[in-house]
Amino acid sequence: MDTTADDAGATAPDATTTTTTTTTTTTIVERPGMRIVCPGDVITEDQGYMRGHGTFIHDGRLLASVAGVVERVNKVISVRPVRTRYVGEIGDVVVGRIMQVGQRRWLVDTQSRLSSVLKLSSVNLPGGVLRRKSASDELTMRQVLAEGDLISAEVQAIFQEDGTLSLHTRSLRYGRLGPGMFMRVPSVLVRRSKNHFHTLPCGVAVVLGNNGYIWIGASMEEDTTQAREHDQHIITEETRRRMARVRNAISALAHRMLSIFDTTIIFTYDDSAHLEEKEMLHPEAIATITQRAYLLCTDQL
Amino acid sequence: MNFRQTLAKRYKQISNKGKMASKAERQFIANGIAANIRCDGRDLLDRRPLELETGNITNANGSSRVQLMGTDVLVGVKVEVATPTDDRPDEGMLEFSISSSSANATVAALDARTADKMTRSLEFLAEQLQKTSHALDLKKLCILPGKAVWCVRVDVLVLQSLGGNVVECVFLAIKAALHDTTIPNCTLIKDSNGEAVDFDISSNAYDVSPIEGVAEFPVILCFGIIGARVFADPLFEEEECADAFVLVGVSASGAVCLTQQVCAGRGVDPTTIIEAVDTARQAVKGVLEDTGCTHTSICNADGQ
Repeated sequence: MDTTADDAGATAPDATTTTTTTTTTTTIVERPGMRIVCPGDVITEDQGYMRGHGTFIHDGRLLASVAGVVERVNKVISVRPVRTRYVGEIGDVVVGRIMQVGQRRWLVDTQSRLSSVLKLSSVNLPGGVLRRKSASDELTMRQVLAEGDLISAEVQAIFQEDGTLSLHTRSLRYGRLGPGMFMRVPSVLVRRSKNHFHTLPCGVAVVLGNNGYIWIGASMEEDTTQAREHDQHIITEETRRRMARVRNAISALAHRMLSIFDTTIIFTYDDSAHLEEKEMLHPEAIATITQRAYLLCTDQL
Repeated sequence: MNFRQTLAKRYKQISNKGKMASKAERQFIANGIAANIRCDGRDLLDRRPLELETGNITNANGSSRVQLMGTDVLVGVKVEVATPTDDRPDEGMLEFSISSSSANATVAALDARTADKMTRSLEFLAEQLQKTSHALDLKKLCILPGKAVWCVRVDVLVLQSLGGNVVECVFLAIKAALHDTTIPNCTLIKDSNGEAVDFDISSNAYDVSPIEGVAEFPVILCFGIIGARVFADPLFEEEECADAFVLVGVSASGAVCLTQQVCAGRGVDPTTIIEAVDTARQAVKGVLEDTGCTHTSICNADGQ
């Protein structure tokens, strides 16, 4: 496996001609026309542009106030920060943790600026029972989701006043997550795609939340709600090792600031086959196993 | 005053970050620990590779930075001339101040009060470490008895704590920074009777000596306990799920100067604690060798 990675690495210099200023060793993925700035960098001295998020005007010049990527929409220039809290969009799949059980709603931590809200009216009750609005079902909310529980959900709406996210779990895909690992990565690394629920070829299930929260589970059977109800699910040693490998693959990608989606995870997972799970934590190992994912992210593959 | 009780009370806040983990996660981690496969594939007593740099703050007398996959600790040591206290006229001072960056507090979901308590407990532990081990001979930091002594200020900044195991990182960083610290040499000015009346601090940046006894300065190793299993270098998630922690203050030679047990609800079997202490004594050498903190300083070799 590592030989293929090396071969790919050897052909890299030819391909770099398409990128602007990238060296192959840098962890930042640059693309043609993409500009990376640090706080205080001059973005433009041209007066014709408008100041967007992440920028400020000083001495008539437009400077960056955060580290990130310059984006321009018509005359508005903004900088999209690399490290930031999650900015939600309607339809995003998120992984969240219940922080508080409130009145007819749960407060959920989704790494966004404010706690997100999951209303009692936007969940499916276990077993698909229809909810009857009554005082008693408000009292049994904790049986559905308690503090600390991890859930997968979808962003249903964004409150106009303060940007709070309103979530829903009205689909069989969403709901409480069973035994597994939770990890967090910078939210910008998770690419928005059609599907955020993956069962990798190795049999491990991952939920890649758009908010940078990731859940790794033993398996995701067809009827996920059913599978998640089985809390006593026995996980074999073999599966556990596979899950650890997936976890380390994802954290290696996050360490190199590479996009995290199914293909990069599979690449890193496969390229680590010659290593033991715990050996993947070493910095030298991270560089080797993520090489193919790096080339993919820089369009060199 | 019951020292143990005070310590236990103070420490309780260190790892108690709200205890947010679902039942399913707890079960998963506990089963993993029981099967000797942890979340990242390590065995129970394996440690993660950590990165340590020293001398990264140029205007400090000594500095270090420890990074451990999401945990990031920066330490600066400043050496100043100070007037000694009346009860200890011939002893230098060693002061610790530990703070958590506000950015970290937001990410790790620590509120200001918890973060404050956490750092206060760590400061307390650091002071106890010096008091119980007597590794640094404070008398050697005296310049002119009753007039002037060296005051060594150790400032710790926890930049990030999401990788878990903040305690170990903090104390490894402190030790490394103390190793890196140099104190300007002094010449005493004597009057006609041969008594020292004044002193002259060398302004030559190379006319310095290291602090004596740093090689023996202990570190604190943190062990998590789930059931009857002891595991080293806990991850953030594991910290949330652990039944208890055992902190062991241990020096390079394996001498234990401080142990502290912190329970999160359930008690711990005494044999488990003894196991943790034994493990710490065995592990400390490897940990310090990896970080290069075992070298006896040049000054000691010279014998001054």
